[in-house]
Amino acid sequence: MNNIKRNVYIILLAFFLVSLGLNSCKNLDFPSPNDPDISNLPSIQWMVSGAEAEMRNELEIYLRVVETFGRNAYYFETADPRYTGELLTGPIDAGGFLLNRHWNARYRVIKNGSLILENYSDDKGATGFANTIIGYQLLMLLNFTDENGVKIVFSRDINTPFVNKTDAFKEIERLLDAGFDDLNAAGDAFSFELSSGFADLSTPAEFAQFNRAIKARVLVLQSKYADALTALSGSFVDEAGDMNTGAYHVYSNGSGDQGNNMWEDPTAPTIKLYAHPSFKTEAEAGDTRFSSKVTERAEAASFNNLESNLAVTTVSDAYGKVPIIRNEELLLLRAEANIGLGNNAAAASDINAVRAAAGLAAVDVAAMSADDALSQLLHEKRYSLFMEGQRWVDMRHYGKLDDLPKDRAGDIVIDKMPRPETEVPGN
Amino acid sequence: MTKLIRLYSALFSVLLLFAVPAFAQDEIPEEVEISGNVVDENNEPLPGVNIQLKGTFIGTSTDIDGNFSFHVPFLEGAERTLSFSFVGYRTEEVSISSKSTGIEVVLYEDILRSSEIVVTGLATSVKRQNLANSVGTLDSKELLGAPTQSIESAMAGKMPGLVVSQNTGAPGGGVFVNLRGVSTIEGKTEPLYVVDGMIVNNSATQSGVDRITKAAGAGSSRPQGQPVNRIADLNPNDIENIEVLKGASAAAIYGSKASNGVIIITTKRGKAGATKINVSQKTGFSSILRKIGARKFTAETAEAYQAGGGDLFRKNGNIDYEDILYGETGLLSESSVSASGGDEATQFYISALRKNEDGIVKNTGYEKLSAKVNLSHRFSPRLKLDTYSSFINTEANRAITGNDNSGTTFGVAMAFTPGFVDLRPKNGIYPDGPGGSNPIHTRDALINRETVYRAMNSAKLTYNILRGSEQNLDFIFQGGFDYYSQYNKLYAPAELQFEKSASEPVTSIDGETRALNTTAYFNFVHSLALDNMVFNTTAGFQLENQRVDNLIVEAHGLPPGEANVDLGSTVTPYQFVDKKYDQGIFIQEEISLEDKIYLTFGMRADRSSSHGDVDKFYTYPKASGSIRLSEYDFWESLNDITNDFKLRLAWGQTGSSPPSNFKYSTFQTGNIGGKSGLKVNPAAGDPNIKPERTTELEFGFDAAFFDGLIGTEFSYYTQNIEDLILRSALPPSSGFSSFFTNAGDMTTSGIELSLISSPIKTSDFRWDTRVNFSKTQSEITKLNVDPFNKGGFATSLGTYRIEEGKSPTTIIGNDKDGNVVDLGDETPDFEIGFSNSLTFGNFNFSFLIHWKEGGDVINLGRFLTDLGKVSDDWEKVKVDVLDDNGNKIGETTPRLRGDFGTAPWIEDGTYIKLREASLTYNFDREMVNSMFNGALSSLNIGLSGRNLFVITDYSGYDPEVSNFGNVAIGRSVDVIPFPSSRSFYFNVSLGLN
Repeated sequence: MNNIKRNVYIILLAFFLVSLGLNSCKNLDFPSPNDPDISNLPSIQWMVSGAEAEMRNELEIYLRVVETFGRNAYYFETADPRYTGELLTGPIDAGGFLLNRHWNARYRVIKNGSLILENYSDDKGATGFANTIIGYQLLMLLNFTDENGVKIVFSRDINTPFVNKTDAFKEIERLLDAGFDDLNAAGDAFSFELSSGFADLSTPAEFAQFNRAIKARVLVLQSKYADALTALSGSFVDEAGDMNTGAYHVYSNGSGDQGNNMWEDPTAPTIKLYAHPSFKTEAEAGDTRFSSKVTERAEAASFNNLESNLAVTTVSDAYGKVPIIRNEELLLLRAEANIGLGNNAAAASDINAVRAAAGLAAVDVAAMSADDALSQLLHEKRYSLFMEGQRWVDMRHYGKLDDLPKDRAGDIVIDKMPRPETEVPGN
Repeated sequence: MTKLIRLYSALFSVLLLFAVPAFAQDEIPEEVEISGNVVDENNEPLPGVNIQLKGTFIGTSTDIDGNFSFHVPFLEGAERTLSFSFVGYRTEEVSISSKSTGIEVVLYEDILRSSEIVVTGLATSVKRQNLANSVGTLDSKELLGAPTQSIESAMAGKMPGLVVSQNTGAPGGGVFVNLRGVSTIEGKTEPLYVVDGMIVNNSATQSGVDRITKAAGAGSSRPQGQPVNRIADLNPNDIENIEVLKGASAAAIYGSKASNGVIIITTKRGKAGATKINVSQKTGFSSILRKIGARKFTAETAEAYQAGGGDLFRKNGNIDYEDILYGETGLLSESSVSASGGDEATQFYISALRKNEDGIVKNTGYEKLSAKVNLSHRFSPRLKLDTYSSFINTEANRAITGNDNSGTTFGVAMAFTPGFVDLRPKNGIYPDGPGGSNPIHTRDALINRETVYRAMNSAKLTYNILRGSEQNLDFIFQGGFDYYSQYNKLYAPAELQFEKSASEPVTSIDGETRALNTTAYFNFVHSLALDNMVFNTTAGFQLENQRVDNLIVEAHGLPPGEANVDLGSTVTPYQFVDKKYDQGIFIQEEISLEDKIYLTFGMRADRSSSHGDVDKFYTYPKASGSIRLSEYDFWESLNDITNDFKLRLAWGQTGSSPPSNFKYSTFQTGNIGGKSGLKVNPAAGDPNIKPERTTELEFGFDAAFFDGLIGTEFSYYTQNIEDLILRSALPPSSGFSSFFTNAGDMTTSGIELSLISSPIKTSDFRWDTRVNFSKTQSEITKLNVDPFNKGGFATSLGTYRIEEGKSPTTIIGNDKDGNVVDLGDETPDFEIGFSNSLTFGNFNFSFLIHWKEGGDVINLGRFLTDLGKVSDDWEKVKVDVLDDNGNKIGETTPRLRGDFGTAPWIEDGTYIKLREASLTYNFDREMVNSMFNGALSSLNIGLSGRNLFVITDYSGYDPEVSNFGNVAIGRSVDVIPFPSSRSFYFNVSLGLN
């Protein structure tokens, strides 16, 4: 009897333990509990928004760098004297964050674009968006490295070669043209929504105008002025339009979004970003582009033997937008192309439209020499596109980097970024 | 022939599980009574001595008067021997062939603790005298020389090969424990903690303080919140003993979790008999261990420092901010009570603790509430259940220290505040500080609080399937869960300087972490005793599941005075889930030959959800042997010198599973304007990632010399770690920056030596001393990726270099010309722990000195105070700054001018610390009994202290520091942490009758 009771207990215990064991035996094969796997592509909307979001990432570092190179700005960062050292004296550290942050982020956008091209090849709106964005990101990279070139094959193999500037431009043009063709075949509406930064350019047809605007910038930088005029005619350039019509990076305080790291309260006790003193000395009286883009502080800040009291106010608030390309630049690109073609008269109306918007009187461009017209144009571009990353690129395009002011003994003007050491074998 | 068959069956005795009925009906022979008495060398009775009939499982233990009595089967003409063993005494053997009652035995003290029972497997143990590995043990007495906040600190300096180093002096802990040197680059650094048979969670979860300090911003993206690793929650008073399996050869049975060693903690249990109650109260205070000092200004130098500084100096003098911030005397209090007892069937141990410790900074401190119930119940002679339950609540107020990029932490703010600037509040108004914040204001207004609720419950069920005089088969189930929730609250109110200038003032951060560990072990243990041999076979399987879910909500722009995160204008949540399921099977065979030779063979096979191939079992074999040479006849001539000599040799493998997220390549959030977006995570995973594998060979000897005057334990080990998991760089043009992969090998070797002696042993004076020496070194032997820097902030500020042929803890930096050069190594030359216990009459005086020789530290605290021109030696070392034309344009130190490159920031971290000291008076038992009318059974009072002094040339607060918390590579970086403190206690402890 006792034995039977004991056996019952043992069987129950064994049964309990076996059940416990089986119950605790979990399936070991599960996806990441945190983020979607890269092989598990979500809808096109997620990829497009992700690309748009990443396009802003590290943009503030890029703009600080190129505007410092172009002697438009100083960045007084006590925690990191490289902004006022290395950028103005060289040599540039090929492993430093001033180069790598921008470089890495642009290629991450390209990765999103490549994933769209691989997985949504039937959606012409999607491929049109992706090709345009990839082309634009390559341009942002090439702006940085110039003659040092970029990689146009996006591979894990570090031996993948860099292409030179000419071939890089060729690839950018190819991508923009492919995107343009796709957009023209994409119908009336995208299968996804762009952010409010593209509110003016939200349909495939309008986005194609954005594509042509970027193409125009690319062509002007190659001095292909006639082609640039053609591209501009397909863009949203509008002499009578608002100077600020265009495409923007937008920011918000929404979850997972980011604020605009460039924003500083110009009245705060300490700020870091200042305009170069020449931005004031070379400004024309009454130029609203000067008065709206900087505020003169009562006390000048000095750091590392540099000094300025011009607080930058191009960003309106902690979530203020940053232009990608807008009508004002397109008008100036058209003027630039016309000047390049020796057609000063055609350039005059665009330049004066921009000047009128800035509260300035017209100038007689038609009567100017080619050199003077170009100088006038570069002056307008500097003030119109302040903190939009164009001045250094433009001065380099025209071989005028030596004209930029050097504030301290030993300062130099950097002409291009080195190839990041993470891209070159043997580092 | 019969013997051969029995030998065969022993070796494969797991098979016997299926043959149980054949053995279950052993005839029970006639029994005889055996009785006697056991005393020590001073003729005092010894209770609790274990007595066993050799070659059988029949035994008993002595009662409180040292008496014993039990029955053994009578076997005509058989040579029977009783073995008497007791922890701390040499085992004696007595033949009972001629005499069975009135056996008188004297046990002599054993310096090597040969009869101590040491765990060797998941369910088996062996006497230390047979052990083939160097296994360190600490009992409760050794552990509690002086009170401590966390159990790890109580182990420091007490065992060779065990390095305990605190990361920060902040209340609550944050301690690094390392066994036998570097074992990984990217993987887990902490040993496995097993408490009462259950793997407990020792994860360290960031508090979110980085979101205020922005420490993880520009220079290094690694978190620097200096979190508490949660083993700190345990109540040290509940611990009966700690066993430390230092290397792979001992820990192989824990498989792919054991590359960093295993720390096995056993908590106290009740014993049958009268209920014992212990009450103890400890009260004391703490103060800063060591100040770093600050520059002493004069009116002239103050004026040179800043215009108007001279006047400020004449008004304020040099204000000692260290004294204001770190000069508090923290009150310490610990009250504890425990009760234990029970009858033959049921025993209990219950305890409660309340600890309340104020920090050396106002508004900081640590509180712990702990309750524990351990129960044992024997349902029947064959079925026994042990349960272990504890509940713990801790709260730490940790203030805000360490690295920062926002001028918010005490140290960084002070580094930019010269002593002549007055930041002390007047009429409740705190002046703004030049360093980005007013640290006095921050101390008074900022909240950084961590609260933990933790429940640990486990059970052990032992069922005896078969018992005979020669063999025994048990089934043992062990399982349980360990759950904690950790709440972090960070609050920076609007009036603080750095919030005033923020775009959305007021930061409020709520963090919650829920962590659940569950383990279930199913073991069969079979023992077979033959004439001169004992076979122990263990087999079983384990299930171990872990899930940690961390949620942080960060809010900015709250109304003044409000902390509820939903009031913020910007609210950002973060979540990270760490989920890991492991399954293992193992088998182990232990063979003892005449108690002289002891052999072990074992194998564990593990699979885990964190491996690339989740179905593959990775196997970890082990083999070891020891021989007690002194037991053999040929040793007799040497007996005058050493009468106890054991050689041991052990080999084994363990693994280290990759962190659970290293195999995944994922997207990450990239939302814009209210639209959800995804972008690729630049750190790609390796879908084929596998565990790192450590192969260890250890050999050594244990010996007692000159009749037990001096004991020695010596071990040499060499570990080869293959398939090191590394973060390998990818060209960013691929869209990724790095990926995790198995891509390197490393060796670590070292020696460990302990000398133990009791030079004086008279009845009224006794001196016990112990010296532990250890030395370890590592080298990267193979690297399939390019050499890379790891840790630190930049090459110019000192960083670690991972390169073939180098020590993985090599510190590099720039020379004065900007070339990259080796500047030091974090690994110390050696460490020595020197402990002493002096007993004279009723007094006991004990102390522990810990000496770390060498081991470099990157002192960026000095760099910051140099930048702020407030270093204490500024006046002594200042040099002129010249412009290109040779004109003086300022002053600085040659350190900042780069005269020596990075070298001045790399400092020698040698220290000698008085870790623990105590003076105790134990009242005579009789006196206590009569004084309190029998109410008390024992009473002792005493003084104790921890970290009483430190001798070091290091210029920071404490060379024991880690800005990055518990990381394998890149620990010794000092960015002005919470200063270390010393503590004193007055203790009263009494036992109630």
